[in-house]
Amino acid sequence: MNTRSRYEIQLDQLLDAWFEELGKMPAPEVLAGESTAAVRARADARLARATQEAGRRRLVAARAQAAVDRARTPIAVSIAEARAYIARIILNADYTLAARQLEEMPEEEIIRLYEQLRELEDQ
Amino acid sequence: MAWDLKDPGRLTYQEVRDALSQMAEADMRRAERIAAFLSQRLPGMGAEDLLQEVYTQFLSGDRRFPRGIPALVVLKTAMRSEASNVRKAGRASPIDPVYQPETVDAPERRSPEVEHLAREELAVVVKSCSGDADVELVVMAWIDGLKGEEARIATGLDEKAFDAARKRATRKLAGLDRAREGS
Repeated sequence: MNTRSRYEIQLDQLLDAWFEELGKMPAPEVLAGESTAAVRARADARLARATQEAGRRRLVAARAQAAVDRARTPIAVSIAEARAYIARIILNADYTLAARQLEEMPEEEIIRLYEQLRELEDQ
Repeated sequence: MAWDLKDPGRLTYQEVRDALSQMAEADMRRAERIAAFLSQRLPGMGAEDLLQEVYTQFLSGDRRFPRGIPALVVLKTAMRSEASNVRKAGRASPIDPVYQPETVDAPERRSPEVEHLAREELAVVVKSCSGDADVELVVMAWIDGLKGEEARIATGLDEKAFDAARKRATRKLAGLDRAREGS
């Protein structure tokens, strides 16, 4: 059930009617003695703040999207390359994995281990 | 901007900026008055916050600015939607335990919470017009979706009295009378 409630509909009806009346109200009455320059200055400042905040939000969204894209990027290495990478890391780091184990490891396990090691290296 | 290319029915980033900056000053003031009306009792958000938030959403691409619609109409619709979202998200107090939604028209409702929030908003509006019987009649007619001559007939007022009450109601809801009283 995703329709509006009776009171929401009534509020919208009120807002619509009032909005029509507000649109018909003469500009001097709407401004109520305030200068147009003051109203414009306030609107310009609002637009500047909103532009800055919108830029910040777009940057945050772009970074989040980039992180998602990176996480979804398929492994672009061959099994041989992944195996060589793992062997090199094992040799240089304090990991216990025999060369024989690496040779006998299923391909999907090679890729999984490769991803884990790359993640550790990135951190 | 990515949204510029995907949807020709919405304004581009630069067009949004132009539409907002090229509004007439009276329309800018009308937008502020609508923001003040919609932000009454809004948790943690004032009129300026509400207006700036919808500006930001249009410029960030989070909200669509449709092509061919006057900026003031677009702002009004966006602020109504945002105010409703904020009210639903920010409500901290429990639901009035006494209030029970009526059973008629039940399929139109989403939840007692939503119903309760909207009822509260309406109560605030009606209260802001209390003390002027003719204005209350006009506002009740508007709430019922009546406009123009239909609204006048529903109020039972003659044309002159209705016209005056209609203008007073518009001013009251716009906060213009409060501003005058406070000055």
